[in-house]
Amino acid sequence: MKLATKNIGKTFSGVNVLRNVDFELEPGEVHALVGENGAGKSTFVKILSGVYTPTEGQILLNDSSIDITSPIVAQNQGVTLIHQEPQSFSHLTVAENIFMGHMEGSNFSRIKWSDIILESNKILNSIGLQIDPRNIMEGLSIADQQMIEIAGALSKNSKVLIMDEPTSPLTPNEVSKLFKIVNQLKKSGMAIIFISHRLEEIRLISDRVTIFRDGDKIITKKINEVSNEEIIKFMIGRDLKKTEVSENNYIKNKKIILDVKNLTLQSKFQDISFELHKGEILGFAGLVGAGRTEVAKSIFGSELFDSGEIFFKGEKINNYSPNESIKKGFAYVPEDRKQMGIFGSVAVEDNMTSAIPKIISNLFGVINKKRVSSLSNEYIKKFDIALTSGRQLIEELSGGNQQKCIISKWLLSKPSILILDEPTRGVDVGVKSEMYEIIKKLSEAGTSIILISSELPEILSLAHRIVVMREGRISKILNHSDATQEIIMQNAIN
Amino acid sequence: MTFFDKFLRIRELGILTIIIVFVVVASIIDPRFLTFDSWRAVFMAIPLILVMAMGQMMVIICRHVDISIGSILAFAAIAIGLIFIEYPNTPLWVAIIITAFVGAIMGLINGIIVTKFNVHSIIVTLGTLSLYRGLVFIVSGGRQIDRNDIPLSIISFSQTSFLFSIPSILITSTIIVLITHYMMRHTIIGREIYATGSNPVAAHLKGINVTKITLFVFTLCGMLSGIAGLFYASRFGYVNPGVTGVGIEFIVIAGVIIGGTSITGGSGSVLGTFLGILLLGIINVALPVLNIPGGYQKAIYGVIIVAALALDQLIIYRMKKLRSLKNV
Repeated sequence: MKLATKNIGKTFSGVNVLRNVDFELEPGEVHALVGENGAGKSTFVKILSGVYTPTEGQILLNDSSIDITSPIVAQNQGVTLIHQEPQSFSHLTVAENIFMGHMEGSNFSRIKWSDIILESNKILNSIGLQIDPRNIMEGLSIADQQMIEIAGALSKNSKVLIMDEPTSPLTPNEVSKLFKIVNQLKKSGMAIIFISHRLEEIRLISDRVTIFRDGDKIITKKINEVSNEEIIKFMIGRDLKKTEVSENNYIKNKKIILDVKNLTLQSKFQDISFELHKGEILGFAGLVGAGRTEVAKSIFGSELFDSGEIFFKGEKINNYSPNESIKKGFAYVPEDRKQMGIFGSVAVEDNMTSAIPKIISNLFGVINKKRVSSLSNEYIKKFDIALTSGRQLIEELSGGNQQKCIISKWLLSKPSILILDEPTRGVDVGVKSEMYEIIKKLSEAGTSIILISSELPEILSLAHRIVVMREGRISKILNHSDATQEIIMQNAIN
Repeated sequence: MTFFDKFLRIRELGILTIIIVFVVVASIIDPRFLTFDSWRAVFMAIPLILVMAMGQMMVIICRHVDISIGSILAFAAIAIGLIFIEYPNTPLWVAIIITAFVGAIMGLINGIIVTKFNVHSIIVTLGTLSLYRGLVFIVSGGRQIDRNDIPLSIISFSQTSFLFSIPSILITSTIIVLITHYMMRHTIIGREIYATGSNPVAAHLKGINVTKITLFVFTLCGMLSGIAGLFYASRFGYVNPGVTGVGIEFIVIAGVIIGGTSITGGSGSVLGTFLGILLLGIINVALPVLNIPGGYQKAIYGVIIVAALALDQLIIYRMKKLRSLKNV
């Protein structure tokens, strides 16, 4: 079956995340989609599979226009999405997982178990999977669950399979098994869309590649007519004007404040070693899922790690907990502002002073309201936070202003190490540049900053050094003068 | 798979072991426990609970819970009682249909609030527990339905029958249990209930109408609780607005959970639920027989429930270990 789109676009609450995508998928083709996080490829496949409905444009199946309004409509048309994290029913049998939702009969008809098991066996055999369909799903590996999702798609006679980063949870052995099946399906005429960040895999399995950037489809190329370097160029776009990152006096002294050695958390990150200097902004680049947030949380003590050591000002840290870290002068501004950064239905003032309970209270733990107001007002003025009064609830503020409050909260605790995890996500351009000024001033004042960001321009314009992570490991540590978007990207993917 | 392997896979093995151990121990302490009268008492006590547990089990498998069932029972019982006063000749089958219908409506209301307003079922049914109880008082004017208001045909429903003088109430509840087993095990909607509880997101993606399934289980749960209202009137011979069905949700939910239904949804069986209710019934009859003072009975009852849950988990864990040892 031939699948095509014309002028597909998607707008979320006024934000245009996908624009004018023309795309073609031939039967018997494996078509790879690549792009940075947020480039629009996931939105695009969600539209094809009925999870989202497009704001504009049309989808064509065998040259006739169709409306895909739900995942079920898509599946009935023969288009099935295989999720990155398999969506399975762990309490039910393999056969039920394959046939759930499209068993023959009405609500109260008796299920023909023998037919379903026979059919399941046939399909599982056809993709070379040795599993008894009567087994319970629970306990099967992610790879097997993925195969069973594919088997489910086959049982519905799907003609288009969309695989969203299917290989990221798999071991190399499982990947080659998956590719064998993909090749086999391709021979039988299945059209396959394959999303991956690993360029070798794309080279190995796909016929054509389409590159997305910032909500636009950039280009479609035959895979053997394009080099990895070219693909990366298309992904990051035009050359960025290189900005100078000013060195401050602290940097020249290279005084090590934090020394992380061989930090490992099985299944999340391995062998992480780096130094952080006084007054330094250390950027952490990499794709979402590379393990940057997990490393930050482990250093801050909110998550445990298996092995490795951390030295703070030359002394080994033995006791890990957020409480201990805050006492030492660590501060962590999390990525997920709503869940982890703010106390939503609490006043701005109280949010801002929540990390310094000792300072705002007397001997008996009674809070001095005047001190709360005066301390928070100082930062409300300094950062120009837009609000009606300090007693306003923080959840009523805009995202950018909330973020300023969170940073103020930590600055009030006078941290020596500030960890910022995607600090400018979801804030507008104006607040962004204000935030950059704040970060720069802090480093000039001697605060060491770990800056996790998926936006390369942000990292390149702020960080003195850049740690690039890939799949749980540090792939490269770059000095600002050596770093370019291309080099960072090359180390972040592959 | 060897026979032993298959045997170890039976989820209900834990609860069955506990029942056997309890019965053996109780009989050793006091052989009177093994008499026909004790067991008649057990099997007279459970039909009402069992019927309600079938509905509750479906709701819990679906990741919800319905704690308003005691009030639904009371409302259906009061409603049918008032009808008996007006129309003493109401036949049994009409009474069953009326109580089922009344219960189904109340269950459906629970389901609609849960699905439409996306409120957690504990909160919703906590509210309707009180609301429906209030309706019981309003409708009855606070008056009890007495024994002489209830037709003889209804009273005899729980005492005699056409079959070896096994009370009809026991036969009826057995039929309901068997139908539930068939539905949950072998029909498409039954398996969709499991699927919805196991992974609602995946269920939606597979085209299962999760809202419909949720409404269905709440309606059935209400319906069975309504029928239990008739059972109550028949067996106890009165319906009291302030007493009937109060606290019964505790026994029903405890029985369902002891029977191995996971409160996180997706698993549970009719056999397990039956055994869970049976265990509670046996304990309830055994405690007085064993001469445990009345004041202690409730506390001991609670202790046994908690111990049974812990023991069941332990047995399951051991079985899993034994299985994996054999597989190595």
